[in-house]
Amino acid sequence: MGSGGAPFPLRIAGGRPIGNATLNSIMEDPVLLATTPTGVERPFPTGELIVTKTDLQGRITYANDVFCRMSAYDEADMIGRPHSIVRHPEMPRGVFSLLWSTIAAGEEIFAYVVNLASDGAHYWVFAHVTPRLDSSGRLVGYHSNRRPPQREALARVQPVYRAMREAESRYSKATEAAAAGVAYLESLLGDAGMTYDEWVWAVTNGDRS
Amino acid sequence: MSLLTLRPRKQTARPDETAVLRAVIAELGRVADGAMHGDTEVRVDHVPGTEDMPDVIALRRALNGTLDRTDAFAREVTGALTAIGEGRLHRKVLLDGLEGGYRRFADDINVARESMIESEHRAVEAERTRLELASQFEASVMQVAEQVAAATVELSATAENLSSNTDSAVELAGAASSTVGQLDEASRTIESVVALIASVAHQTKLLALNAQIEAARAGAAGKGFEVVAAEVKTLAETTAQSSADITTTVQHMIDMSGRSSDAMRSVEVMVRDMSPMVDDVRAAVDGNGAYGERAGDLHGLAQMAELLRTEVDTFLTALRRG
Repeated sequence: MGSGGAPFPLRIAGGRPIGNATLNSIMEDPVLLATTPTGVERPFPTGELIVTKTDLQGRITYANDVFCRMSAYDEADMIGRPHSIVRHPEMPRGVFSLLWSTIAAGEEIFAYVVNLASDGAHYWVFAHVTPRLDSSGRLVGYHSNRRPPQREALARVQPVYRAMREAESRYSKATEAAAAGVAYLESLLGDAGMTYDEWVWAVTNGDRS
Repeated sequence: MSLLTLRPRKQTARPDETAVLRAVIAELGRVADGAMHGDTEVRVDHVPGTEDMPDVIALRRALNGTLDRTDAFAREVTGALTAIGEGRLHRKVLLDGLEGGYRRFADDINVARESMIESEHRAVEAERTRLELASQFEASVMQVAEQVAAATVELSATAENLSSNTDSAVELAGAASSTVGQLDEASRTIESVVALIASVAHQTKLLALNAQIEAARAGAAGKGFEVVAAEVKTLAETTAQSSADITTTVQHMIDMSGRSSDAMRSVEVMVRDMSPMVDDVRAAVDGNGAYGERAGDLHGLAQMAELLRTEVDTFLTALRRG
């Protein structure tokens, strides 16, 4: 699965030449870590499935080849790192807050998520997050299957996310911002008389509401 | 991609290549064993030294892809079935990323899911119809019960009146009967008085006849007396004739009053017979709590209507609980 020690052939924020740096050395560099979005969307082909598994702390324990390719990371450098390395600044914090509280309750959750690749490209996914249970049924972490989303679904999700980020931008503390985002989403859903699950499936099934 | 192609391509294999391949086989064995025993989490780890072995890399990718898709299939099926169980009918099995047999299974599950939702809708519809029927039934029964209750009140009042009227009728019939009896008695008194008058008239006629004979013997001197005697005789004959007429009339009256008396007695008997019937009606309406030996073992119409309402209420409560 790629060559872990090979030079990292990517464009990195800040225009600094990468030279002969390896992915490992880049990952240690705090300036290079701040990947800047390029606005380029990487296509996620239909029929492919992004799969990652994390431990209970959200550290990646398994990433399939599609995730490595889409995120422009080498597998070896991804294992053990927090899943948030692909977090895109346009994602509302409230969505992740909702995601964690739902799976912590042992329930599945679906969410539209935009991820940031290490080269600044981004890609949208329709994520399905479920608990990982070992053979004796004990919770050992989380599993995420991601499928290509429909454009029509994204067109309905994006305005909601923008409004959530707007609500979150009034707070500097991350936890307060996340709470504000969740509160905004809940008021929106309350007005529509829907649960989050009903909304996300209405969007996915193309229901008009 | 078969293991056979993993045979060293270079004639001069590096000394550690065999060891690396052994490590690959051991890793594949570990994963196959785990998967066989239902470990859905197991995946083929990277084996150091395989970085420039494209066949091993492809094999690892294919095997992990197989496990990922099996895992995804299982999670989709579990998720969709759990959702149906929880009534979250909007959640489908996602087909994206599933190919071939997995896709067909998932399609079949979605079809089954649709029919389950259809059944669910039908069940909801049946439930709605059931509740609607219960409401209609309740409305009808309540209406009937109220009408029965109203009719019962009216019937009870009528039976009460009837009962007191019957008592009055028995009394009046008795009084009429005794009046007719008195009439009969008076008629018989008249009859005997008239018989006396007839007998007096007869005696008078005989006396008048004797007086005529005596007047004729007296000659011219008795001429005037003879006229008087003839007048008395005529008067006595008229009286006798009138007495006979009165006797006939009185006899007729006695017959009439006798028949009246019979009719009055029949009326009295009939009205007396009506009395227990009216009591039965009252018992049927009000219950026999206050009447006769069977007191308390018969429910009145009003109680029956109330009982019906209570029973229907219990039935509807059970029906609505489903």
